[in-house]
Amino acid sequence: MTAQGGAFDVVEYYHDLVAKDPSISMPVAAVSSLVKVVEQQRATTMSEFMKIVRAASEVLKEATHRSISVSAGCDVFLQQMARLSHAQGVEECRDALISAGNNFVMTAGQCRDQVAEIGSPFVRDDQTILIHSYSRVIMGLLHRAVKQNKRFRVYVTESRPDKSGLRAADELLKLGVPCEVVLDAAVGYIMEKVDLVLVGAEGVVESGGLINKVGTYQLAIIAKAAKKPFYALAESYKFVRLYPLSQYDLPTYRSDLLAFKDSGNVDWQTELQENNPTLDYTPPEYITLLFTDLGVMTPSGVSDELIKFYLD
Amino acid sequence: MLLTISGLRNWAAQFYWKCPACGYCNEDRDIYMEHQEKRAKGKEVATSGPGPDAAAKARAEKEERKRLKMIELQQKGIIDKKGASTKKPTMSRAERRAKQELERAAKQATASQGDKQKDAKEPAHHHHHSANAGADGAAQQTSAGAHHVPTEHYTMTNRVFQEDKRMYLYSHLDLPPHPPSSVSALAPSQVLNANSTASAEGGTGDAGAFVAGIKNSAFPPGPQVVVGMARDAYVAAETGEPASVSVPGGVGGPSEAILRDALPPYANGPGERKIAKSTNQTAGMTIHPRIKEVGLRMGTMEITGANARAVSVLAAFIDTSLYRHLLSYISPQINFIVHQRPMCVGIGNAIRWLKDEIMRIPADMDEATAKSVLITRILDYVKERITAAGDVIADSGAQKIQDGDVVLTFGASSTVQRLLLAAHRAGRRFRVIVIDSRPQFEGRKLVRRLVEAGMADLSASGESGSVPAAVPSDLGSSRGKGRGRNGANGGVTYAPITALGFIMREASKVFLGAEAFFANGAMLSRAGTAMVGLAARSHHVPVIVACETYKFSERLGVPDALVYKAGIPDAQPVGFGNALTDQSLAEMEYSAYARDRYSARPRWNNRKTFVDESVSEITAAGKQAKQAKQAKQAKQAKNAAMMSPAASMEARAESKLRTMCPLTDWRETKNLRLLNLVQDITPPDFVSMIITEVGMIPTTSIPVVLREYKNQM
Repeated sequence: MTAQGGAFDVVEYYHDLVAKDPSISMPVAAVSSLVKVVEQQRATTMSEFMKIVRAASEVLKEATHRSISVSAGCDVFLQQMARLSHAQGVEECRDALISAGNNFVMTAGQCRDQVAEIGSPFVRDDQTILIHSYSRVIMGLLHRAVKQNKRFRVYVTESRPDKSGLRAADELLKLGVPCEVVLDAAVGYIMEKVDLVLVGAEGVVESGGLINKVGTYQLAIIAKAAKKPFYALAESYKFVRLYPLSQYDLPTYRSDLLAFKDSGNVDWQTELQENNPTLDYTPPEYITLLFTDLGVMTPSGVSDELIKFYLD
Repeated sequence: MLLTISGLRNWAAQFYWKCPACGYCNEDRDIYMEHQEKRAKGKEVATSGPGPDAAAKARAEKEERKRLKMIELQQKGIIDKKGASTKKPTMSRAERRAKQELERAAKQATASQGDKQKDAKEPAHHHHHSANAGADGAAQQTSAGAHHVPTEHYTMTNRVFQEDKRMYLYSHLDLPPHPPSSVSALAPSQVLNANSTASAEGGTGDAGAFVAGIKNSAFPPGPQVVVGMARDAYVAAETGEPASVSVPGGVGGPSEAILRDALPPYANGPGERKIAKSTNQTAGMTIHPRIKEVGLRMGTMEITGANARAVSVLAAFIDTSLYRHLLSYISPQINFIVHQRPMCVGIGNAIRWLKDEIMRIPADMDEATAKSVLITRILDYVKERITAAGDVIADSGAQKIQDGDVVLTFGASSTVQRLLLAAHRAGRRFRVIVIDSRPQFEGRKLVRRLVEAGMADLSASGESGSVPAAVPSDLGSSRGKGRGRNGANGGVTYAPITALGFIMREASKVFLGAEAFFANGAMLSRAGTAMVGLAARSHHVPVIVACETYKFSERLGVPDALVYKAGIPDAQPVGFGNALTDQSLAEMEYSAYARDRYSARPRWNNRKTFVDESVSEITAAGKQAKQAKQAKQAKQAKNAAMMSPAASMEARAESKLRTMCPLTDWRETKNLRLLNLVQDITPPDFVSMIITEVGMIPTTSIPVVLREYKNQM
C-alpha cells in the first residue's frame, strides 16, 4: 500500500457501501469512504495528509458525476479536516478526524428520526398529502405519523423517469395508508384536493432552495399558485455550499441533456430515459418551510447554518 | 498585488485618475502628456508671443499684483507699512534660510521674493511662482474677499516623493494671470497641489519633480510616512493596458486643456465654512492637507466608487501623522470628509475599525512603534477587506458566468469590472450590456475597459484559444442553457438606462456593485440601481451583487430617510442637450455637488446659470433679466479677450452652457424643485445573490455575516 493510497479504491469502497446497505444515504456513505481513506493513508506531513484526503474526495465526487449529496458529505468532512488541522500534528489530526467521521456516520442515522420527530406534528388527521418521488426521510416522517395514529391520505407522483413513486406507494400501502399514484402531468389537476406537499431533498443549497428529483420545481410552483404549504425535508448534512441561479447552474448540468434531434430514427423511450434531467432546482421563494434535524426553519435559515458551519 | 503604501496609492490612483482629454477614461496618459506640452507652449505663446513688449507688460502686471498684495496684507495687519512682518518670526534665521533653499531646490527656479515678509508661523509658505496669490493660511479669515477665488489648476499627477526632505511642501501653484481684484486670501485648502505647467514656465527640466505636502506646525515632520504619487505610479498602475484609444472629437487646444484640468477649488461651500468654524477654530486644529485633498476629490466626484473612496481615505490617514491622541484629532478630519461628501458605509466601517485599533494600542508603546503598527494594520485591513476580498469576489463571481451568458451591468463597479475581466480571462464566452446613466456616466469607462480587453468580438479575435471561433452548436440556439443566452460570440452593448425595459429581455444575468448593504438586505447603490433591479425582477433575470463584507451595515435601510440624509443638494439642473458629447464641456458636467463646484467658479454660480430663454421671456422681468444678461455676456466676452486663454475659455464655455441648458432660473421659480439622487435603495427581494469574500449569500444572511464575522473584523 502506497502513501498515496493507490491500492485502496475509494470509489469502489463507496459503491460497496451503497450496495450493502440500500438505506444508507449518500453523504454518509461518502463520509465513511473518506474515513476509510484517512485510516489507510500513511502521510507524514500535514500538507501531504490534506492533499491525499482532498484528492480522494475529488475522485469520489467525479466518480459520482458530481452528485450533490456526495459533494455535501465530502465538503462536511473536508471542513472538519480543515478545522482539526489548525492546531495539531498529523497523527492527532488523523485520529481526531477518524473519530469525528465515525461519530458523524453514527449520528447521521438519528438525523432522519429527528426530522420525523420535528415534522410529524404538521401531519394531522384527515389530511390529504402530496409527496413526490421516493424519499427515505419522507417515509420516516409518514411512518412516525402512522405510529401516532394519525389518519391521512397520500397522493404520490409517479416520478418519471425511474418511477420511484410506485415504490413509495407500495411502502405506504403496507403501512396501511390510503394511497394513489398520480401522473407527473396530473399534479396541477390534483393540487386542489391536497392539504400539504412534502418533498425530500438531494441537497439544500445556500439560498435555501432545494435540489431534488426532477419535478419538484413544477410541484412547488403549482403548490404556490394554489396556496398550499410546501414543506421540504432534509437532514442537515445535505446542506451544501452551492448557490445555483437557475436550473442550468448546477454542477450536474450536462449540455447534452435535452439536445434537439433533427434527423434519423430516434428511440424516444431511451431518449426519455437517458437524455432527460434527473434533478431540478427549486428556488427558495416556493418553499414554505424546511424540516431539518436542526429544527424547522425558513429557507433563509439554511444560509445562516451554512455560514456558521463553514466559518473558519 | 504587492501591498505597500505606494502600491496602495497606485491601486487607488486608477480610480481617480481622470483623463483630461476625455474626462472619463483613465488610460490616456500619453494624450495627457501631449496636452501638457501643448499647454505649456500655448502659455509661452500667450505670454511671450508679442515679444519684449509683452514681457514688459507682464512684468508690470506682476509688480502691480505685488503692490496690491502688499496693500491687502497691510489691511489685514499682517505686515506694516514698510513691509516688515508685524509678528515675530518663530523660525531662526538659519532655519528660514534652509527652508528657502529647500523650496528653491524643489522648484529649481528662483522663487519670487515678494512674500518673504510673511509670518513664518503661517502654515502655508508657498512662493507662488506667478506671485499673484499669496496663500497666507487665512482659512479662518473669512473677512475680506473670501468669496473671490482664483481659478486653480489642480492635478494629482505632479507629486513626487521627496523622502530626504521628510516634510511636505507645496510649490508651484499654477495660477493663470487674473485680474488683481480677484486675488485674495487663498485658504490652505486651496493650496493643495502643484501643476506641471508651472515648471514648464519656470524652465525646470523635470516636470514631475514636485513636492507634495506642507510644512505645518500642526503636523510635525516626525517619522511620518510621506509618500507622494509620482506620475510613474500611474504608469505602473496601468501597465499592460496601453493608452491607445483615440478620443472622439480629438484633443483640444491648449486652453481647452486648461479648462479640463482645472478642478475648481473648493471655496465657500457650506462644508468648508462649517468646518472652519467648528473645528479649525474651536478645537484649534487644522485639517490635514491630505485629508483635505481626499475630501475635496470626493466632494467633486473625482473619486467615486465606494472602494476607491474607502481606500483613499485610509491611505490619507496613513499619510497623516497617526498618533495616539489621534482619536480627538481624527474626528475633525472625518467631519471634514463627511462634509465634502456624506460618508458611505464602507468608510464608516473602516473608520470605526481604525478608531478601535487606535484604542487597542497599549499605552506604553512609544509613538514611532505605535505609528508603524497602525500603518501595518491599515494596510492589512485594506488588503484583507478590500483588495484581496475583491480578488476573491472576482474569481468566485466569474464562476457564475457561463458560456453564452448575456451579462447586464449598471454603471461601473470596480468589483464587477474585475469580475467580468476575470471571467473573460478564464475563457468564458459571454456578452456584456452596460447600462449607464447620468450624472457620472461611469459606464463609458467600463465599456472602454471591456472593449480593450477584447470582449467586444470574441469570434473575430479568436483569442479564447481552444474554443473554436464558431459558436458551439448548443450555445447559439435556444436549446442551450436557457433564456437569452446568445452571447457566445461576445459583444459589448452600451445603453442608457432609458433602454432598460427593452434590453433587459436579452440579459440572462445582472451583475451589480453596491455601496452598502443593510441588515434587512436592502442595498444602497448608485441611483438607478433600484430600477435595474425592478426590471430584472420583472423579467425574471437573477441579480447578482458583488460586495465586500466591509460594506455591510448593521443599520436598516429605509429608503426615504437614508437617501435624503445622504446630503444631496436641494436640486440639480438637468439636461445639457448635446453638451454631454461635447468635449469642451466634459469638465462641466453637472454633478450632485454641482452647487459647490460652480459656486467655486466666480462667474459660474449656479444661481445665474441654466436659463431657459423661452420660459423666462414670458415675464417682463424675465425679458429684462435676459437683456441684462446679454449685455453682461457681451461685456464678459469683451473682457475675455483681454484675459488669459483660460478665462476666455471659461467665458466661452459659460455662454455655450447658457444657450444649451433647458432649465430656467429654477431657483427663482416658485415651487419648482429639481431632485437629484445620487444613490437609491434597492429592496432585498430584487437581489438574488450577494457575492462576498466569505461566500455567496442571500440578502437574508447579512445579519449572520455581521454577527459571525464580527470578532474577526
